[in-house]
Amino acid sequence: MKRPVAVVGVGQTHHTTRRSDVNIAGLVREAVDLALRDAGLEHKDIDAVIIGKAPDMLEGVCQPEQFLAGALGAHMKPLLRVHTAGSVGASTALTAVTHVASGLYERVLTVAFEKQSEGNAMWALSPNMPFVAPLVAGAGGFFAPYCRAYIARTGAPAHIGPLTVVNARDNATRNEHAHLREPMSLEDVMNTPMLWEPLRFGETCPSSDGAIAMIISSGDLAKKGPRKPAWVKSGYSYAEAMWVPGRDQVSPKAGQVCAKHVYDKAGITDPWNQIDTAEIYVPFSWFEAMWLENLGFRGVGEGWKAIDRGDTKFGAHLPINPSGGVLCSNPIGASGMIRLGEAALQVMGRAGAHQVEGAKTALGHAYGGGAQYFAMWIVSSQE
Amino acid sequence: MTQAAPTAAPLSQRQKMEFPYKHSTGPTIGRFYAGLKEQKKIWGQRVAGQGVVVPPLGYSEIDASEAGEWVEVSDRGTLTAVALVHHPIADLHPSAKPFAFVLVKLDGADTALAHIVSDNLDTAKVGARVQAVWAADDKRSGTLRDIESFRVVG
Repeated sequence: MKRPVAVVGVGQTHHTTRRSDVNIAGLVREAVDLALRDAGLEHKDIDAVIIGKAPDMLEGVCQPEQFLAGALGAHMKPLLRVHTAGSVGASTALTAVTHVASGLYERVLTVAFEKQSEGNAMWALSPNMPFVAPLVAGAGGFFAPYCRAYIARTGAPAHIGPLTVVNARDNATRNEHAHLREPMSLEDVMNTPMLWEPLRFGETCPSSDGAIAMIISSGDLAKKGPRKPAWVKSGYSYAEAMWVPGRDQVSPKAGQVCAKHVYDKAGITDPWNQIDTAEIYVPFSWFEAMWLENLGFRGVGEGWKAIDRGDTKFGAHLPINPSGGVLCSNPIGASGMIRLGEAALQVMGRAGAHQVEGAKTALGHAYGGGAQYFAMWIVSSQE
Repeated sequence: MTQAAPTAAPLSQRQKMEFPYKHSTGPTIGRFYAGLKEQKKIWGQRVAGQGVVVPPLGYSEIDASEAGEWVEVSDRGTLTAVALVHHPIADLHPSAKPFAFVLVKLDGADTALAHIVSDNLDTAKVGARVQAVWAADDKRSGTLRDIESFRVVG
Protein backbone atom coordinates (compact mmCIF):
# COMPACT_ATOMS: atom_id res chain seq x y z
CA MET A 1 0.00 0.00 0.00
CA LYS A 2 1.23 3.46 -0.85
CA ARG A 3 0.32 4.89 2.55
CA PRO A 4 -1.18 3.67 5.85
CA VAL A 5 -4.92 3.00 5.89
CA ALA A 6 -7.17 2.28 8.85
CA VAL A 7 -10.73 1.42 9.80
CA VAL A 8 -12.11 4.22 11.95
CA GLY A 9 -15.77 3.23 12.17
CA VAL A 10 -17.85 0.06 11.99
CA GLY A 11 -21.64 -0.13 12.15
CA GLN A 12 -23.93 -3.07 11.58
CA THR A 13 -27.62 -3.81 11.93
CA HIS A 14 -28.91 -6.78 13.84
CA HIS A 15 -29.32 -9.64 11.41
CA THR A 16 -32.59 -11.49 11.25
CA THR A 17 -34.97 -13.41 8.99
CA ARG A 18 -37.02 -10.44 7.86
CA ARG A 19 -36.64 -6.75 8.54
CA SER A 20 -40.18 -5.88 7.51
CA ASP A 21 -39.92 -2.64 9.51
CA VAL A 22 -37.55 -1.01 7.02
CA ASN A 23 -37.01 -0.90 3.29
CA ILE A 24 -33.59 -1.40 1.69
CA ALA A 25 -32.68 2.28 2.02
CA GLY A 26 -33.71 2.23 5.68
CA LEU A 27 -31.63 -0.89 6.32
CA VAL A 28 -28.42 0.52 4.81
CA ARG A 29 -28.95 3.89 6.47
CA GLU A 30 -29.12 2.16 9.84
CA ALA A 31 -25.66 0.67 9.30
CA VAL A 32 -24.25 3.88 7.80
CA ASP A 33 -25.52 6.02 10.70
CA LEU A 34 -23.96 3.61 13.20
CA ALA A 35 -20.62 3.58 11.36
CA LEU A 36 -20.48 7.38 11.12
CA ARG A 37 -21.38 7.74 14.80
CA ASP A 38 -18.77 5.11 15.68
CA ALA A 39 -16.14 7.17 13.86
CA GLY A 40 -17.39 10.50 15.21
CA LEU A 41 -17.91 11.68 11.63
CA GLU A 42 -20.69 13.04 9.42
CA HIS A 43 -21.56 12.57 5.76
CA LYS A 44 -19.75 15.80 4.89
CA ASP A 45 -16.48 14.20 6.09
CA ILE A 46 -16.77 11.41 3.51
CA ASP A 47 -15.08 11.75 0.09
CA ALA A 48 -16.53 8.74 -1.71
CA VAL A 49 -18.98 5.88 -1.25
CA ILE A 50 -18.45 2.26 -2.32
CA ILE A 51 -21.35 -0.15 -2.08
CA GLY A 52 -21.61 -3.89 -2.62
CA LYS A 53 -24.27 -6.55 -2.58
CA ALA A 54 -24.85 -9.97 -4.11
CA PRO A 55 -26.74 -10.34 -7.44
CA ASP A 56 -29.54 -7.82 -8.02
CA MET A 57 -31.87 -10.75 -8.69
CA LEU A 58 -31.92 -11.53 -4.96
CA GLU A 59 -34.17 -8.56 -4.20
CA GLY A 60 -35.25 -7.89 -7.76
CA VAL A 61 -34.39 -4.21 -7.28
CA CYS A 62 -31.71 -3.45 -9.79
CA GLN A 63 -28.81 -1.04 -9.54
CA PRO A 64 -28.64 -0.32 -5.81
CA GLU A 65 -25.81 2.11 -6.56
CA GLN A 66 -28.41 4.18 -8.40
CA PHE A 67 -31.46 4.13 -6.17
CA LEU A 68 -29.49 4.28 -2.92
CA ALA A 69 -27.23 7.21 -3.88
CA GLY A 70 -29.29 9.71 -1.90
CA ALA A 71 -29.77 7.40 1.07
CA LEU A 72 -26.00 6.90 1.31
CA GLY A 73 -25.09 10.57 1.16
CA ALA A 74 -23.39 10.05 -2.20
CA HIS A 75 -24.93 13.12 -3.90
CA MET A 76 -22.08 14.91 -5.70
CA LYS A 77 -19.52 12.33 -4.59
CA PRO A 78 -17.88 9.41 -6.42
CA LEU A 79 -20.09 6.31 -6.01
CA LEU A 80 -19.01 2.83 -7.06
CA ARG A 81 -20.71 -0.53 -6.87
CA VAL A 82 -18.70 -3.74 -6.51
CA HIS A 83 -19.84 -7.26 -7.21
CA THR A 84 -18.02 -10.55 -6.63
CA ALA A 85 -20.82 -12.91 -5.52
CA GLY A 86 -20.62 -14.05 -1.88
CA SER A 87 -17.24 -12.43 -1.32
CA VAL A 88 -18.62 -9.05 -2.41
CA GLY A 89 -18.72 -7.52 1.07
CA ALA A 90 -15.01 -8.14 1.49
CA SER A 91 -14.00 -7.01 -1.99
CA THR A 92 -16.15 -3.89 -1.56
CA ALA A 93 -14.23 -2.95 1.58
CA LEU A 94 -10.93 -3.72 -0.17
CA THR A 95 -11.95 -1.41 -3.02
CA ALA A 96 -12.41 1.33 -0.43
CA VAL A 97 -8.97 0.53 1.01
CA THR A 98 -7.39 0.79 -2.45
CA HIS A 99 -8.99 4.17 -3.06
CA VAL A 100 -7.62 5.54 0.21
CA ALA A 101 -4.22 3.83 -0.02
CA SER A 102 -3.74 5.34 -3.48
CA GLY A 103 -4.04 8.81 -2.01
CA LEU A 104 -7.12 9.57 -4.08
CA TYR A 105 -9.48 9.97 -1.10
CA GLU A 106 -9.02 10.60 2.62
CA ARG A 107 -12.14 8.86 3.89
CA VAL A 108 -14.37 6.39 2.08
CA LEU A 109 -17.71 5.08 3.32
CA THR A 110 -18.12 1.45 2.35
CA VAL A 111 -21.44 -0.34 2.69
CA ALA A 112 -22.77 -3.83 2.02
CA PHE A 113 -26.22 -5.28 2.52
CA GLU A 114 -28.67 -7.98 1.66
CA LYS A 115 -32.39 -8.12 2.29
CA GLN A 116 -32.87 -11.75 1.41
CA SER A 117 -36.42 -11.88 2.74
CA GLU A 118 -37.62 -9.78 -0.22
CA GLY A 119 -36.94 -12.42 -2.83
CA ASN A 120 -35.77 -15.97 -3.33
CA ALA A 121 -32.07 -15.96 -2.54
CA MET A 122 -31.75 -19.72 -2.76
CA TRP A 123 -32.60 -19.94 -6.44
CA ALA A 124 -31.85 -16.41 -7.58
CA LEU A 125 -28.25 -17.08 -6.52
CA SER A 126 -28.05 -20.14 -8.70
CA PRO A 127 -29.92 -19.54 -11.95
CA ASN A 128 -29.35 -21.48 -15.12
CA MET A 129 -26.50 -19.88 -17.04
CA PRO A 130 -26.49 -19.93 -20.84
CA PHE A 131 -24.08 -22.21 -22.71
CA VAL A 132 -22.91 -24.25 -19.70
CA ALA A 133 -24.16 -27.41 -18.05
CA PRO A 134 -27.26 -26.72 -15.93
CA LEU A 135 -26.27 -26.43 -12.27
CA VAL A 136 -29.44 -25.21 -10.63
CA ALA A 137 -28.36 -26.77 -7.36
CA GLY A 138 -28.62 -23.95 -4.86
CA ALA A 139 -25.54 -23.14 -2.80
CA GLY A 140 -25.91 -26.16 -0.50
CA GLY A 141 -26.29 -28.62 -3.35
CA PHE A 142 -23.32 -27.04 -5.08
CA PHE A 143 -20.93 -27.07 -2.11
CA ALA A 144 -21.89 -30.36 -0.42
CA PRO A 145 -19.84 -32.47 -2.89
CA TYR A 146 -16.75 -30.39 -2.04
CA CYS A 147 -17.31 -31.20 1.63
CA ARG A 148 -17.67 -34.88 0.76
CA ALA A 149 -14.46 -34.72 -1.23
CA TYR A 150 -12.71 -33.14 1.77
CA ILE A 151 -13.94 -35.92 4.04
CA ALA A 152 -12.86 -38.56 1.54
CA ARG A 153 -9.37 -37.05 1.25
CA THR A 154 -8.72 -36.52 4.92
CA GLY A 155 -10.70 -39.29 6.58
CA ALA A 156 -12.25 -36.68 8.88
CA PRO A 157 -14.85 -38.18 11.23
CA ALA A 158 -18.52 -37.33 10.67
CA HIS A 159 -18.96 -35.20 13.80
CA ILE A 160 -16.56 -32.42 12.68
CA GLY A 161 -19.22 -30.56 10.68
CA PRO A 162 -21.76 -30.61 13.54
CA LEU A 163 -19.03 -29.72 16.08
CA THR A 164 -18.18 -26.65 14.00
CA VAL A 165 -21.82 -25.57 14.33
CA VAL A 166 -21.80 -26.13 18.10
CA ASN A 167 -18.82 -23.74 18.38
CA ALA A 168 -20.37 -21.17 16.03
CA ARG A 169 -23.69 -21.19 17.89
CA ASP A 170 -21.90 -20.86 21.23
CA ASN A 171 -20.03 -17.85 19.85
CA ALA A 172 -23.22 -16.25 18.54
CA THR A 173 -24.74 -16.27 22.04
CA ARG A 174 -22.22 -13.50 22.82
CA ASN A 175 -22.95 -11.43 19.67
CA GLU A 176 -25.97 -9.14 19.93
CA HIS A 177 -26.06 -8.68 16.13
CA ALA A 178 -26.22 -12.40 15.30
CA HIS A 179 -29.30 -13.91 13.67
CA LEU A 180 -29.20 -17.41 15.26
CA ARG A 181 -28.29 -17.00 18.93
CA GLU A 182 -29.68 -20.20 20.42
CA PRO A 183 -26.95 -22.68 21.39
CA MET A 184 -27.06 -26.16 19.86
CA SER A 185 -25.55 -29.37 21.21
CA LEU A 186 -23.83 -31.89 18.98
CA GLU A 187 -26.92 -34.07 19.28
CA ASP A 188 -29.20 -31.13 18.36
CA VAL A 189 -27.25 -30.56 15.15
CA MET A 190 -27.07 -34.26 14.32
CA ASN A 191 -30.85 -34.53 14.72
CA THR A 192 -31.64 -31.85 12.12
CA PRO A 193 -32.70 -33.17 8.71
CA MET A 194 -30.02 -34.09 6.19
CA LEU A 195 -30.34 -31.65 3.28
CA TRP A 196 -27.35 -32.30 1.08
CA GLU A 197 -25.17 -35.14 2.37
CA PRO A 198 -23.07 -34.45 4.48
CA LEU A 199 -24.75 -31.11 5.24
CA ARG A 200 -27.72 -31.12 7.59
CA PHE A 201 -30.20 -28.28 8.01
CA GLY A 202 -28.36 -27.29 11.20
CA GLU A 203 -25.06 -27.12 9.32
CA THR A 204 -26.35 -24.53 6.87
CA CYS A 205 -26.26 -20.74 7.13
CA PRO A 206 -29.55 -18.92 7.68
CA SER A 207 -31.07 -16.50 5.17
CA SER A 208 -30.80 -13.05 6.74
CA ASP A 209 -31.61 -9.39 6.27
CA GLY A 210 -28.78 -7.16 7.39
CA ALA A 211 -26.26 -4.46 6.52
CA ILE A 212 -22.82 -3.27 7.58
CA ALA A 213 -20.89 -0.08 6.90
CA MET A 214 -17.31 0.94 7.60
CA ILE A 215 -15.35 4.16 7.34
CA ILE A 216 -11.95 3.58 5.75
CA SER A 217 -9.55 6.43 6.46
CA SER A 218 -6.06 7.57 5.66
CA GLY A 219 -3.65 6.85 8.50
CA ASP A 220 -3.05 10.56 9.09
CA LEU A 221 -6.72 11.30 9.72
CA ALA A 222 -7.24 8.02 11.60
CA LYS A 223 -4.73 9.18 14.23
CA LYS A 224 -6.81 12.31 14.81
CA GLY A 225 -10.00 10.32 15.45
CA PRO A 226 -11.59 9.83 18.86
CA ARG A 227 -10.95 6.09 18.97
CA LYS A 228 -8.14 3.63 18.35
CA PRO A 229 -8.40 2.53 14.71
CA ALA A 230 -7.80 -0.90 13.17
CA TRP A 231 -4.78 -0.65 10.86
CA VAL A 232 -5.12 -2.43 7.53
CA LYS A 233 -1.81 -4.22 7.11
CA SER A 234 -2.72 -5.90 3.83
CA GLY A 235 -5.68 -6.66 1.61
CA TYR A 236 -5.95 -8.70 -1.56
CA SER A 237 -8.60 -10.35 -3.67
CA TYR A 238 -8.15 -13.11 -6.24
CA ALA A 239 -10.46 -14.88 -8.65
CA GLU A 240 -10.11 -18.16 -10.46
CA ALA A 241 -12.03 -19.46 -13.43
CA MET A 242 -14.81 -21.91 -12.68
CA TRP A 243 -14.00 -24.69 -15.10
CA VAL A 244 -10.22 -24.66 -15.41
CA PRO A 245 -9.04 -28.27 -15.83
CA GLY A 246 -7.43 -29.55 -12.67
CA ARG A 247 -9.02 -26.89 -10.48
CA ASP A 248 -9.16 -28.02 -6.86
CA GLN A 249 -12.49 -26.91 -5.46
CA VAL A 250 -11.69 -28.32 -2.01
CA SER A 251 -8.66 -26.06 -1.61
CA PRO A 252 -8.80 -23.52 -4.44
CA LYS A 253 -5.48 -22.12 -5.58
CA ALA A 254 -6.85 -18.54 -5.62
CA GLY A 255 -7.54 -18.86 -1.90
CA GLN A 256 -4.03 -20.09 -1.18
CA VAL A 257 -2.43 -17.36 -3.29
CA CYS A 258 -4.59 -14.65 -1.74
CA ALA A 259 -3.73 -15.84 1.78
CA LYS A 260 -0.01 -15.95 0.97
CA HIS A 261 -0.12 -12.39 -0.32
CA VAL A 262 -1.94 -10.97 2.69
CA TYR A 263 0.42 -12.80 5.07
CA ASP A 264 3.59 -11.78 3.19
CA LYS A 265 2.54 -8.15 3.01
CA ALA A 266 1.64 -8.11 6.71
CA GLY A 267 4.89 -9.85 7.67
CA ILE A 268 3.17 -13.01 8.85
CA THR A 269 5.23 -16.17 8.43
CA ASP A 270 3.34 -18.43 10.86
CA PRO A 271 -0.38 -17.63 10.67
CA TRP A 272 -1.39 -20.26 13.24
CA ASN A 273 0.75 -18.57 15.90
CA GLN A 274 0.90 -14.96 14.73
CA ILE A 275 -2.81 -14.36 14.11
CA ASP A 276 -4.94 -13.97 17.24
CA THR A 277 -8.37 -14.54 15.72
CA ALA A 278 -9.92 -14.99 12.29
CA GLU A 279 -13.35 -14.28 10.84
CA ILE A 280 -13.61 -16.64 7.89
CA TYR A 281 -16.50 -17.29 5.51
CA VAL A 282 -18.11 -20.56 6.58
CA PRO A 283 -21.63 -20.82 5.14
CA PHE A 284 -21.67 -24.61 5.54
CA SER A 285 -20.11 -26.39 8.52
CA TRP A 286 -17.31 -28.31 6.80
CA PHE A 287 -15.85 -25.21 5.20
CA GLU A 288 -14.21 -24.23 8.48
CA ALA A 289 -11.98 -27.31 8.38
CA MET A 290 -11.39 -26.79 4.65
CA TRP A 291 -10.43 -23.12 5.00
CA LEU A 292 -8.15 -23.79 7.98
CA GLU A 293 -6.04 -25.72 5.47
CA ASN A 294 -6.60 -23.48 2.46
CA LEU A 295 -5.55 -20.44 4.52
CA GLY A 296 -2.41 -22.18 5.74
CA PHE A 297 -3.41 -22.26 9.40
CA ARG A 298 -3.05 -26.04 9.39
CA GLY A 299 -1.39 -28.49 7.01
CA VAL A 300 -3.26 -30.57 4.45
CA GLY A 301 -5.52 -33.06 6.25
CA GLU A 302 -4.95 -31.34 9.60
CA GLY A 303 -7.74 -28.71 9.59
CA TRP A 304 -10.43 -30.95 11.07
CA LYS A 305 -8.08 -32.05 13.86
CA ALA A 306 -7.76 -28.47 15.15
CA ILE A 307 -11.55 -28.29 15.40
CA ASP A 308 -11.71 -31.72 17.05
CA ARG A 309 -9.13 -30.65 19.66
CA GLY A 310 -11.12 -27.49 20.41
CA ASP A 311 -8.29 -25.19 19.24
CA THR A 312 -10.68 -22.92 17.32
CA LYS A 313 -13.21 -22.37 20.12
CA PHE A 314 -13.69 -19.06 21.89
CA GLY A 315 -10.88 -18.65 24.41
CA ALA A 316 -8.72 -21.36 22.77
CA HIS A 317 -5.55 -21.04 20.66
CA LEU A 318 -7.11 -19.50 17.52
CA PRO A 319 -10.75 -18.48 17.98
CA ILE A 320 -12.46 -18.79 14.61
CA ASN A 321 -15.53 -16.63 13.98
CA PRO A 322 -16.01 -15.32 17.52
CA SER A 323 -19.06 -13.47 16.11
CA GLY A 324 -20.71 -16.78 15.24
CA GLY A 325 -19.86 -16.18 11.59
CA VAL A 326 -21.89 -16.90 8.49
CA LEU A 327 -23.36 -20.06 10.06
CA CYS A 328 -25.27 -17.77 12.44
CA SER A 329 -25.96 -14.70 10.22
CA ASN A 330 -25.94 -14.55 6.43
CA PRO A 331 -27.15 -11.41 4.71
CA ILE A 332 -25.10 -12.63 1.72
CA GLY A 333 -23.85 -9.37 0.23
CA ALA A 334 -22.97 -8.05 3.69
CA SER A 335 -21.46 -11.28 5.06
CA GLY A 336 -17.98 -10.73 3.63
CA MET A 337 -17.79 -7.19 4.98
CA ILE A 338 -19.05 -8.41 8.36
CA ARG A 339 -16.06 -10.79 8.46
CA LEU A 340 -13.68 -7.88 7.78
CA GLY A 341 -15.53 -5.55 10.13
CA GLU A 342 -15.58 -8.10 12.96
CA ALA A 343 -11.83 -8.65 12.49
CA ALA A 344 -11.36 -4.87 12.76
CA LEU A 345 -13.50 -4.66 15.92
CA GLN A 346 -11.40 -7.41 17.49
CA VAL A 347 -8.10 -5.55 17.05
CA MET A 348 -9.74 -2.29 18.14
CA GLY A 349 -10.71 -4.15 21.32
CA ARG A 350 -14.36 -3.22 20.76
CA ALA A 351 -16.01 -6.55 19.93
CA GLY A 352 -18.05 -6.47 23.14
CA ALA A 353 -18.98 -9.79 24.74
CA HIS A 354 -17.29 -11.75 21.95
CA GLN A 355 -13.99 -9.88 22.25
CA VAL A 356 -11.00 -12.21 21.97
CA GLU A 357 -8.78 -11.20 24.85
CA GLY A 358 -5.69 -9.33 23.75
CA ALA A 359 -6.39 -9.68 20.00
CA LYS A 360 -3.77 -7.64 18.13
CA THR A 361 -3.74 -9.24 14.69
CA ALA A 362 -6.81 -10.61 12.90
CA LEU A 363 -7.70 -12.08 9.53
CA GLY A 364 -10.96 -11.23 7.77
CA HIS A 365 -11.81 -13.57 4.87
CA ALA A 366 -14.59 -14.14 2.38
CA TYR A 367 -15.19 -16.36 -0.63
CA GLY A 368 -17.82 -16.37 -3.31
CA GLY A 369 -19.11 -17.84 -6.55
CA GLY A 370 -18.21 -21.50 -7.02
CA ALA A 371 -15.41 -21.00 -4.44
CA GLN A 372 -13.81 -18.79 -7.10
CA TYR A 373 -13.54 -15.37 -5.51
CA PHE A 374 -11.41 -14.71 -2.47
CA ALA A 375 -10.94 -11.45 -0.59
CA MET A 376 -9.04 -11.04 2.67
CA TRP A 377 -7.39 -8.53 4.90
CA ILE A 378 -5.09 -8.53 7.88
CA VAL A 379 -5.87 -5.86 10.45
CA SER A 380 -3.75 -4.93 13.43
CA SER A 381 -3.94 -2.82 16.57
CA GLN A 382 -0.48 -1.47 15.61
CA GLU A 383 0.27 0.87 12.72
CA MET B 1 -8.11 -35.45 -34.78
CA THR B 2 -11.80 -35.01 -35.58
CA GLN B 3 -13.20 -31.60 -36.26
CA ALA B 4 -15.84 -29.89 -34.14
CA ALA B 5 -19.32 -30.12 -35.66
CA PRO B 6 -19.74 -27.43 -38.31
CA THR B 7 -22.67 -25.03 -38.19
CA ALA B 8 -23.98 -22.69 -40.84
CA ALA B 9 -24.27 -19.84 -38.33
CA PRO B 10 -23.71 -19.32 -34.61
CA LEU B 11 -26.61 -20.73 -32.58
CA SER B 12 -28.57 -18.94 -29.92
CA GLN B 13 -30.43 -20.03 -26.79
CA ARG B 14 -33.55 -18.58 -25.26
CA GLN B 15 -33.82 -18.06 -21.52
CA LYS B 16 -36.55 -16.78 -19.23
CA MET B 17 -36.10 -16.25 -15.50
CA GLU B 18 -38.84 -15.34 -13.06
CA PHE B 19 -38.72 -14.88 -9.29
CA PRO B 20 -41.43 -13.62 -6.92
CA TYR B 21 -40.57 -10.63 -4.70
CA LYS B 22 -42.13 -8.97 -1.67
CA HIS B 23 -40.72 -5.57 -0.74
CA SER B 24 -40.99 -3.87 2.62
CA THR B 25 -41.93 -0.22 2.25
CA GLY B 26 -40.40 1.00 5.50
CA PRO B 27 -42.16 3.55 7.71
CA THR B 28 -41.95 6.58 5.38
CA ILE B 29 -43.06 5.20 2.03
CA GLY B 30 -45.45 2.95 3.94
CA ARG B 31 -47.19 5.97 5.45
CA PHE B 32 -47.36 7.66 2.03
CA TYR B 33 -49.05 4.60 0.50
CA ALA B 34 -51.35 4.22 3.52
CA GLY B 35 -52.46 7.81 2.90
CA LEU B 36 -53.37 6.97 -0.69
CA LYS B 37 -55.19 3.79 0.25
CA GLU B 38 -57.01 4.78 3.40
CA GLN B 39 -57.41 8.56 3.14
CA LYS B 40 -57.24 9.41 -0.58
CA LYS B 41 -54.66 11.93 0.56
CA ILE B 42 -51.18 12.66 -0.76
CA TRP B 43 -48.53 13.25 1.86
CA GLY B 44 -45.05 14.65 1.47
CA GLN B 45 -42.23 15.55 3.80
CA ARG B 46 -40.48 18.84 4.30
CA VAL B 47 -36.76 18.42 3.59
CA ALA B 48 -34.17 21.05 4.47
CA GLY B 49 -33.23 23.02 1.35
CA GLN B 50 -35.66 21.15 -0.90
CA GLY B 51 -39.13 22.18 0.27
CA VAL B 52 -41.87 19.55 0.24
CA VAL B 53 -40.80 16.26 -1.36
CA VAL B 54 -43.46 13.90 -2.83
CA PRO B 55 -43.30 10.93 -2.60
CA PRO B 56 -41.35 11.26 0.65
CA LEU B 57 -38.22 9.16 1.28
CA GLY B 58 -37.53 9.89 4.93
CA TYR B 59 -34.20 11.54 4.16
CA SER B 60 -32.65 14.28 2.07
CA GLU B 61 -31.20 13.02 -1.20
CA ILE B 62 -28.81 15.98 -1.11
CA ASP B 63 -27.05 15.41 2.20
CA ALA B 64 -28.65 12.20 3.58
CA SER B 65 -30.02 14.06 6.63
CA GLU B 66 -33.34 13.02 8.16
CA ALA B 67 -36.47 14.50 6.58
CA GLY B 68 -38.69 16.87 8.56
CA GLU B 69 -42.43 17.17 9.16
CA TRP B 70 -45.19 15.54 7.14
CA VAL B 71 -47.20 17.87 4.88
CA GLU B 72 -50.41 17.08 3.03
CA VAL B 73 -50.35 18.30 -0.57
CA SER B 74 -53.21 18.74 -3.05
CA ASP B 75 -54.36 16.07 -5.49
CA ARG B 76 -54.34 18.82 -8.13
CA GLY B 77 -51.25 20.07 -9.85
CA THR B 78 -49.49 21.24 -13.01
CA LEU B 79 -47.78 19.12 -15.67
CA THR B 80 -44.05 19.84 -15.93
CA ALA B 81 -43.23 17.17 -18.52
CA VAL B 82 -45.17 15.00 -20.98
CA ALA B 83 -44.17 11.98 -23.10
CA LEU B 84 -46.86 10.40 -25.28
CA VAL B 85 -46.90 6.63 -25.72
CA HIS B 86 -48.90 5.88 -28.85
CA HIS B 87 -48.34 2.12 -28.91
CA PRO B 88 -48.25 0.71 -25.37
CA ILE B 89 -46.68 -2.69 -24.81
CA ALA B 90 -49.07 -5.13 -23.14
CA ASP B 91 -48.27 -6.04 -19.49
CA LEU B 92 -45.30 -3.70 -19.46
CA HIS B 93 -46.68 -0.20 -19.78
CA PRO B 94 -49.13 1.15 -17.16
CA SER B 95 -52.01 1.45 -19.64
CA ALA B 96 -53.32 -0.77 -22.41
CA LYS B 97 -54.53 2.19 -24.49
CA PRO B 98 -52.42 5.17 -25.60
CA PHE B 99 -51.37 7.31 -22.62
CA ALA B 100 -48.86 9.96 -21.59
CA PHE B 101 -46.10 9.62 -19.04
CA VAL B 102 -46.18 12.89 -17.10
CA LEU B 103 -44.51 14.69 -14.26
CA VAL B 104 -47.04 16.44 -12.02
CA LYS B 105 -46.04 19.20 -9.64
CA LEU B 106 -48.81 18.90 -7.08
CA ASP B 107 -50.02 22.11 -5.43
CA GLY B 108 -48.08 22.42 -2.20
CA ALA B 109 -45.21 20.17 -3.38
CA ASP B 110 -41.77 21.27 -4.57
CA THR B 111 -41.00 18.11 -6.52
CA ALA B 112 -42.79 16.53 -9.46
CA LEU B 113 -44.48 13.14 -9.22
CA ALA B 114 -44.17 10.69 -12.14
CA HIS B 115 -47.58 9.39 -13.23
CA ILE B 116 -49.80 9.04 -16.30
CA VAL B 117 -52.57 10.89 -18.14
CA SER B 118 -54.85 8.44 -19.95
CA ASP B 119 -57.60 10.57 -21.52
CA ASN B 120 -57.75 13.61 -23.80
CA LEU B 121 -54.08 13.23 -24.59
CA ASP B 122 -54.14 16.20 -26.99
CA THR B 123 -54.65 18.45 -23.95
CA ALA B 124 -51.76 16.93 -21.97
CA LYS B 125 -49.24 19.73 -22.39
CA VAL B 126 -46.62 21.20 -20.11
CA GLY B 127 -48.38 23.77 -17.95
CA ALA B 128 -51.80 22.05 -18.09
CA ARG B 129 -53.69 21.74 -14.82
CA VAL B 130 -54.51 18.16 -13.78
CA GLN B 131 -56.59 16.40 -11.14
CA ALA B 132 -55.95 12.94 -9.64
CA VAL B 133 -58.44 10.24 -10.64
CA TRP B 134 -58.73 8.01 -7.59
CA ALA B 135 -59.37 4.28 -7.75
CA ALA B 136 -62.58 3.06 -6.09
CA ASP B 137 -62.45 2.35 -2.36
CA ASP B 138 -62.38 -1.42 -2.85
CA LYS B 139 -59.66 -1.17 -5.52
CA ARG B 140 -57.06 0.84 -3.61
CA SER B 141 -54.29 -1.42 -2.31
CA GLY B 142 -51.50 0.90 -1.21
CA THR B 143 -49.67 1.54 -4.48
CA LEU B 144 -49.08 4.61 -6.62
CA ARG B 145 -51.86 3.33 -8.89
CA ASP B 146 -54.36 4.01 -6.12
CA ILE B 147 -54.33 7.16 -8.20
CA GLU B 148 -55.43 5.55 -11.47
CA SER B 149 -54.25 8.48 -13.55
CA PHE B 150 -54.43 12.26 -13.78
CA ARG B 151 -56.99 14.03 -15.97
CA VAL B 152 -56.55 17.45 -17.53
CA VAL B 153 -58.89 20.02 -15.99
CA GLY B 154 -57.71 23.16 -17.75
